[in-house]
Amino acid sequence: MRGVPHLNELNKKYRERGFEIVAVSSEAAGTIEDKMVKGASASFGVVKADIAALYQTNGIPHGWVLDAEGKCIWEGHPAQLNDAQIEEWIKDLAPGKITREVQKPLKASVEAYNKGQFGKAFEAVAEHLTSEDAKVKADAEYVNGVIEKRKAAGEAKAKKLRDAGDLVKLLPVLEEEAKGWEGSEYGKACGDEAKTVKASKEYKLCAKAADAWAKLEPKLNDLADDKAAKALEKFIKDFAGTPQAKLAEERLKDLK
Amino acid sequence: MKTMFLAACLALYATTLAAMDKGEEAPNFKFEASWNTLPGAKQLTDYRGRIVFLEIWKIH
Repeated sequence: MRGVPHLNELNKKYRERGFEIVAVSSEAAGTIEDKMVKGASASFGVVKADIAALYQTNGIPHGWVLDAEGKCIWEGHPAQLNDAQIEEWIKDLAPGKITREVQKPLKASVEAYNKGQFGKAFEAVAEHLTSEDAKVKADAEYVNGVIEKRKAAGEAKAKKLRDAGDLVKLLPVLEEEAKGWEGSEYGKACGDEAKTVKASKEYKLCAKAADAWAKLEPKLNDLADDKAAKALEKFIKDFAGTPQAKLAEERLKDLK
Repeated sequence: MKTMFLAACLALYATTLAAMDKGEEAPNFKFEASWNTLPGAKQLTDYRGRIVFLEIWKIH
């Protein structure tokens, strides 16, 4: 529990930006509450659960950082967590729901945002950005900042997939953006791009490659090396330019 | 020989220290009780969409 002040500080700095701490113990709920939550004044998430069989570790405390999809991106001692790492992890993260209390004129925008209606939220906040009421203006700037960050995160996610040529994953991202930003120019642009992607030959090839790779990849370990190499070479030729062909190239290199 | 033994010990320690590798999906689990967690969160997967620092701790 010596690490509580450090985690409290990180929680205070980054929670609103999407960085969450979940400290887990298998001890009795009463003990956790008395010692950790009340005794040590932990302000971050504290949980009772027995996860020893799922998360093996010799040293305690020990931690893992999980990305937005729940995949492990770091592991180590909590004291090793620092601001630079966290800033890097959260920089492209879409902000979560707005939980801060805002002035009454901003409530409609916050409600729309929290429902995933970003276009509507953006429209509703605009008129308050020039409010003469300083409190309303400050809240409008805050809400507008969150909405802008959400848009930037969506754009960054789409760009990453576009650059990787992963049209199969890009399409649902564009469709989700188009739906969330309905009524805005950005939403229209996403919708138009989604239609173009869906109709393209490249998307159809990517979709076929994804299906074919899902079938081939689990079988590779059961094949003799020469047969696996032949299958991979054929796959690379048939689905050239797709992300799965790149995966196949990597597997082929490993084989050789 | 001594170096090899130390290297083997370190490798063994590394593999037993954390079974979850980078890129691997974290196993889900339900919260038996919770404090200060996200409103409505009842299990780890309720945190999807956020960066999570998952820590195992013990009262000393």
